[in-house]
Amino acid sequence: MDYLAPPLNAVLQIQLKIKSGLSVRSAIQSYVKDFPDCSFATQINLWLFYLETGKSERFMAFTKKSYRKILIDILHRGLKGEPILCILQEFETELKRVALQDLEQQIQKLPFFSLIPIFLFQVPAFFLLLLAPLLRELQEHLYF
Amino acid sequence: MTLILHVTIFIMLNWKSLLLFCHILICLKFLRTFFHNSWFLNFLSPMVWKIWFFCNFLLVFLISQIPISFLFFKILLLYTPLIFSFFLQSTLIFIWQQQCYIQFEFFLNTLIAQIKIGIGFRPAFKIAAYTLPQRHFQNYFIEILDAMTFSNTHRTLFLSPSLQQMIEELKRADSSSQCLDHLKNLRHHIHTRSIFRKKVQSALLQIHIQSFVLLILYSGLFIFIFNKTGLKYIKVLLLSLFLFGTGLMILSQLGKKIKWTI
Repeated sequence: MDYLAPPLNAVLQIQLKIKSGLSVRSAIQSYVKDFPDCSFATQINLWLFYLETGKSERFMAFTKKSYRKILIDILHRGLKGEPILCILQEFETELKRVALQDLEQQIQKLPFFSLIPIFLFQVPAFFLLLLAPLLRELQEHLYF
Repeated sequence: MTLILHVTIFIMLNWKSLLLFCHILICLKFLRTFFHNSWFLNFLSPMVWKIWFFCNFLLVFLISQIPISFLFFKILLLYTPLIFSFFLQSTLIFIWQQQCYIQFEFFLNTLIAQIKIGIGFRPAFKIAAYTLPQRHFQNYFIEILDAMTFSNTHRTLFLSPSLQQMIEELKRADSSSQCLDHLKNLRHHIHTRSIFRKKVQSALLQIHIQSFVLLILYSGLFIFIFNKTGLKYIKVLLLSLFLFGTGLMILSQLGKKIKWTI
């Protein structure tokens, strides 16, 4: 699991780059370049491509996660020339709250999910190890 | 001390000691060639060497319990030192990177404090590096400063992607006119990341401890049953081993499979 939720990471990175003096477009491009394995970075890269070809509306229709959609909207406004740094800061606070909530939900589910491989694989492995030789010997004794 | 221990084991285990000797030689050569940096070897000495030697002895003891007549175990014996070294190596790098990331937070605080009182970036960097508690981290951060100047030394620093990114940001801060603001932003970024990292790691640690305890229990039981029954029920034992290994693999992958829903 990534330590940071992809949209939160994107907000932090893009903010950092804008504050260091890069333009919004360069900040986005730099973020995409820094995280080639991140699915959201790839998504933003694709969005940039669709934006240049004028089909970004169609692309947005396929983006299902609302916070990612909002972030792309903010970035779009930034690319149009609007100042977005304050908006990004506000959005970061909101994203942190939601990400912590999401993380806590995932952590609550984790003990249950960890029981599945234990009951499906490891408990049978223990039983097999303990009981199989015993049962085999019992079977052999019963036959004779 | 370790030499005396090796000789003792050599006498105690006869032919098996040859295996131990080869094992230790291979592991040492592997580690020495890989971690040729003095700062890394310093980092290893207090923490890991003792565990490593203990694992060596434990491994040889376990190997000595296995009857050598069985072909599968013969092959396993041949490859054990390399497999063991490989896992040890990747684990050490992982621990090192985790520790460095934690140290980076402390380092950045000192760096910002130094710049605030009017010291330039590079002298402040050196001062901040020397205020780190352990010598190997001090040397490591000085090497980072060198790497920032001469980019070809990155290869020997065992940087994780996040650490590499931090160094890039430090480079930008160094060349920026608003160095302090840049560093403050970086600190904010690291702080946010560390809040989430601690939460994720504590949850995953629980699973890892759980699987580690199960592994110890299973290994003990497996050795005991194998000693009692020998090769008589080998198919059943291998099936059980396969089931347990699959379970263990799924458990270790569980943390990686969790995805953010936002």
